[in-house]
Amino acid sequence: MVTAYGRIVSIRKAATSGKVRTLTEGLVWFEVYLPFSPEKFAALQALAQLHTVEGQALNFAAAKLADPELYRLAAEPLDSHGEVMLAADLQQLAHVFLIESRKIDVMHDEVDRATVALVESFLNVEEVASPHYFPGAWVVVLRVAAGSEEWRKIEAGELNAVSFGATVTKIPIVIKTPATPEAA
Amino acid sequence: MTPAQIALLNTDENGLPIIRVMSDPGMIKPDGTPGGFVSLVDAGANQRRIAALKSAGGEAAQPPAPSRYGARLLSSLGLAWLLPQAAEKSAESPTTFSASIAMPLFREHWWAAKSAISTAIRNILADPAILDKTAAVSTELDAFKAHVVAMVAQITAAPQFTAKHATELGQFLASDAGATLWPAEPATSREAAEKAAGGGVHVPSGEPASTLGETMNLLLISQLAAAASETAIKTATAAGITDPVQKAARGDAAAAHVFKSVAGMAPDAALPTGTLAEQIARISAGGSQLQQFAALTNPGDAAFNAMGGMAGFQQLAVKLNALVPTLEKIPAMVETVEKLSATVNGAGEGDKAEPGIMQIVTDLAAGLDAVAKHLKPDASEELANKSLTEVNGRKITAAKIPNAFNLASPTG
Repeated sequence: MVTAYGRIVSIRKAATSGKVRTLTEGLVWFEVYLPFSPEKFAALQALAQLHTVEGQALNFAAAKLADPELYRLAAEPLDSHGEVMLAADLQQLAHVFLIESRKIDVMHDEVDRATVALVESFLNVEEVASPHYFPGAWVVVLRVAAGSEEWRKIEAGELNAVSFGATVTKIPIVIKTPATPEAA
Repeated sequence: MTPAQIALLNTDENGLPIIRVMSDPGMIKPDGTPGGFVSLVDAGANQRRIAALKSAGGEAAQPPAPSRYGARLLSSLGLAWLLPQAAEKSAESPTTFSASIAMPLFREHWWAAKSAISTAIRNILADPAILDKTAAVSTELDAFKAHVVAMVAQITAAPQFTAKHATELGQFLASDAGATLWPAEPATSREAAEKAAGGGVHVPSGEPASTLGETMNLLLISQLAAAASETAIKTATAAGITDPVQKAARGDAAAAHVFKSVAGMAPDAALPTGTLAEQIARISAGGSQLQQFAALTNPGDAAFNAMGGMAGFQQLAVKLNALVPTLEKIPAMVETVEKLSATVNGAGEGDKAEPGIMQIVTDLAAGLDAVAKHLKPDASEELANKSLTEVNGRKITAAKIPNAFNLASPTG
């Protein structure tokens, strides 16, 4: 699901100024990215093979009609760029973000926002297994100054997701069909 | 998987769906400084796009937008004035189902059509019951051409170059403003050329203009020539001419006209080797030089900065990316034609084989490939996995370069 990535899980206004309890900050939980499991990729490949007539390109429409549930399952992890990241690489990404950056910007402008702080970052792996998040998801919690422009935009829905910027090596995987025995 | 998701899938050079797996993530900029960000974003644009794609039913009658590739190539060359009015916006980001589905449809149909014609010709040549193989192949080629032309006309409104366009382009390139597009010129001259052209031309200063300029020039000229050839053949067909040799001759004449009007060259001088495929093969050699140049360029060093710095390199990379898929196809295309020729001769029909067949096949391949190129979506995205260089031991993909170099994978 394209919109499953970088989604806001919840927003909570936090009163954190002691006895006065003035609203000064807000908390936002984000799923930054979801892992793509080898099992799902195998399912996608199997589906492609199952519904491909030799010598012809995969007929996605026919495949969807024949096996919609498997198709939904297999296609779910694709992001808006048609790209995926395996769980191990997602873990590396989450770790190097904490080690080397911890910076939060807006709309990829590369200006670190003092009004937005990273207060939590974790992977929803087996040890966590929170039902609130996609299994294996990279989750971050941001604390945003309540009077800031960023918080206004979050409440207004103008900032409604997160995205990450990173250097990656992109490996193309051709969805196998009988006519294309060699996957890249 | 919904049609919307299918439209978002990347495809390989054969039009087959691919998934790109992002691996080895890091957050160190090429200069060694930390640079990774988690970014608060407005994902509304994506969501609106998906919503538009999902509500495709009522929009089927709308004309699809021209391809991203064709529009961007022309725009990057300062030739946006050749595009249909109001085409640029939709070309950048299709907002209708029709526009978004046009490319997948074309890829699938194009792939199937090429496979079908190849199979048909192979079977004709192998079938001893078919004595007049020339006529049989010609008939199938005509059917193939008619099918593809109809398909293109039906599913896309990609830029179609007419003889009028070719002439206008030739006049433009022959002018002072057009001439300054290709060689390396001082920035002021380039800016003047951009202003005159009404678009952006981003040729980094100091680059080997004789290579980049000539290659880009020849590529565009050949595209136009091939498109003009196809248009002439189509026009001849519409006029009732059925003889494939005659139609091919008209296509050749149109191509020669383009070379003459664009480059100011006499047809004989412009086509010393005779066929469009051979012309394009020469361009392929030039493209190889460009790739070598890019591979040798080391972002960050003094020489690189002197020739325009990162911005210039980014533009060069985009242009290279647009060139490479086309260039990579050329050897295979030529090889296919040569094999076909050998097969014809090997079938014992060499003496009887109509010499025009090979010309038809060659011109057809070049012309239709040009159409395919115009319909091709953002080629730089397809080449995202081609590493142009390495910085600090980390491969930087081409697709990363145009986006802040190190932070380019907005996924939200």
